[in-house]
Amino acid sequence: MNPHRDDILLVEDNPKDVLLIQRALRKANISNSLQIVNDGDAAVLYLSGEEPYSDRTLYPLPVLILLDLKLPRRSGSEVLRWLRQQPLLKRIPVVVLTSSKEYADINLVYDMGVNAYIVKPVAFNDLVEIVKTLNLHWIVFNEKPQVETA
Amino acid sequence: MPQPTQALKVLVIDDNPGDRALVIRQLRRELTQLQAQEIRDATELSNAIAIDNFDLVITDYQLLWSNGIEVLRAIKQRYPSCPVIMFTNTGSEEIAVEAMKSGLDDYVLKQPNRYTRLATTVRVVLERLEIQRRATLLEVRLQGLLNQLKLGVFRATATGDLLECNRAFLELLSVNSLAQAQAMQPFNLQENYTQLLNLPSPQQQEIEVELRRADGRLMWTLLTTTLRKIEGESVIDGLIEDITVRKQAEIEKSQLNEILEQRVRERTRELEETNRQLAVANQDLEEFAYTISHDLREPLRAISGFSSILLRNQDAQSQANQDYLRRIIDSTQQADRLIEDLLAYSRLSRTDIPVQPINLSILISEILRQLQPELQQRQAQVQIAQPLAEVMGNRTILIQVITNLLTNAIKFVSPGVTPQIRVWSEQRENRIRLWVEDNGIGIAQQYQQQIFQVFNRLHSNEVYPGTGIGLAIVRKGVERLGGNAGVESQPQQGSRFWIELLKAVD
Repeated sequence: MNPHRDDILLVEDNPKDVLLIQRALRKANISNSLQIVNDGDAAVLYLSGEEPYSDRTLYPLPVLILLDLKLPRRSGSEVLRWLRQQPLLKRIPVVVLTSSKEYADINLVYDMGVNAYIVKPVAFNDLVEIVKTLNLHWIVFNEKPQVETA
Repeated sequence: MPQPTQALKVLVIDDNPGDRALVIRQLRRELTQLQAQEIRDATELSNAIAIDNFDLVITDYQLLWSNGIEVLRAIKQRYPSCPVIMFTNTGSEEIAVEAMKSGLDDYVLKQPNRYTRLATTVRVVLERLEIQRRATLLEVRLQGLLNQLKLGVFRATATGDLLECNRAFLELLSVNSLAQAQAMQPFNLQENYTQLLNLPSPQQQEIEVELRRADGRLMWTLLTTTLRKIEGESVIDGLIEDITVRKQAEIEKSQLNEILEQRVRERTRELEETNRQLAVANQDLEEFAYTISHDLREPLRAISGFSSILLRNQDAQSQANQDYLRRIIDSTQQADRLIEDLLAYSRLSRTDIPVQPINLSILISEILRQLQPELQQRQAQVQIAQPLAEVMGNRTILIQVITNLLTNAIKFVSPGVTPQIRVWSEQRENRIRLWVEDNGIGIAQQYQQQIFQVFNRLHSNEVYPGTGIGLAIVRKGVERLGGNAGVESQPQQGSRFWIELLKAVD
């Protein structure tokens, strides 16, 4: 594993949102590798290093997870619950990036230990601003925890 | 009968004048006030009996014209309670027995050593008479009382045979005699006796019995029975009282209660059903809101996002196309605000709202800090009459409500007019009214209720952009906090919006 890679894992099922987020990252001049999975089960497979994500050089553990809540199969909150129970992975910062501003959603994931909750903006410019901020906060300035990769 | 002060009138019947004198002398030794009338023959006796002016008779047995038994019978026939004493030396035991059978009150032998007993005997006889008289009087009074009572009184044996009763008892059962009452068997007295036997002293119980009277009418009675020993025999002393009226009232009341309870049960069932339906409806609403929140924005983001990207690749595009793209992006943002406001509005119905004391002064300064950019842009002047009161409210909702009122006040001004806003609170009984006054365009009377409804807009989006939900959120929000909202306004003269909430108690 390349210790200098700061990969971001995006868990997002909507291809249009994926496209817009990729574009916003480029627009914000963020060059980190973006790993993308399209549902909750895939996110769990990726993070636990199981097929088809068993190669950690291709699929390294991310320094940040951007997690949509409304996902096929396993929902974002279920992924989060699973993650926080993994002794080796539970410290990875998770930012929920979703469309809901309902307190039911917000409170639930905070109770599960999410690190931030961001509502996807409608205006593209706002999205650009958000990814810039995310990058500065979580990738540049934030001291990352140790995550065991054994 | 003689009163103590009156003289005792005594007939002294004897042939022998000496004996009469003896009798009278003996009586005077005991009785100070004495009027003795001496009877010497049959004529005098019948006259005396006819006149009826005597209290006591003392007669010899052996008379020339009759004998003591005949005299006794003649007296007792006319005056059964008048005491008669025989004073004789010729009587035998047979005669004495015979005389006693005929009602003689006492018998004194006319022997020298017995004379002195005569006066004593008279006194004893008189005393006995007085006792009897009192007993009779008492019994008459008791009987009268029993007959006047509305309570039926009876006495029965342990086996349930009626021994006696008063008139009210017969009247209550609508019968004429004790025998008829006995034949009716109105109460199960044998069982009653068994129950009484098992009770601790005083062995008494009260039971309510419904019985059918001899005239066919049904009657509720309160039967009180007491177990007593009379001369070694156990008897039941009973009272019955007609409680039909009270009992019917009780029955009606309990029927009424039953009907009421039935209604309460039905109402509860209806309410439970309604609650269940409401829960289902709320669940639906919740799911609907979830869907809107998560899904309805996705196409908007895509439209807005890709339009923005197109707009940036503007080299090849005409001015007109760029304009269209901007309009598309504006529309998506307008739609997103609408979704946001609708969700906020529906959230007010969906969630339980915890209420706590809120300091409006502190809350308003937070809100103004947040609104600072907008206020500056509009050069708005906001004047707060400090201190504002404390109300019972919910922070999140009140922030939303007051923000909406303030942004409205900034927004709805005529072009070129600097918004001037005044905020103050006043106490109205146990409520607090918060006023937000502006110098805006005002609202005509006929629209003043309408503006608090969802989507009711008075102006085109070009002139005053908005979703038309802001004031609906204001009213719904304060209503959910147990308060109300309203407006006083005239066109071109500004508006005063108010919200009223419960005053916070310390």
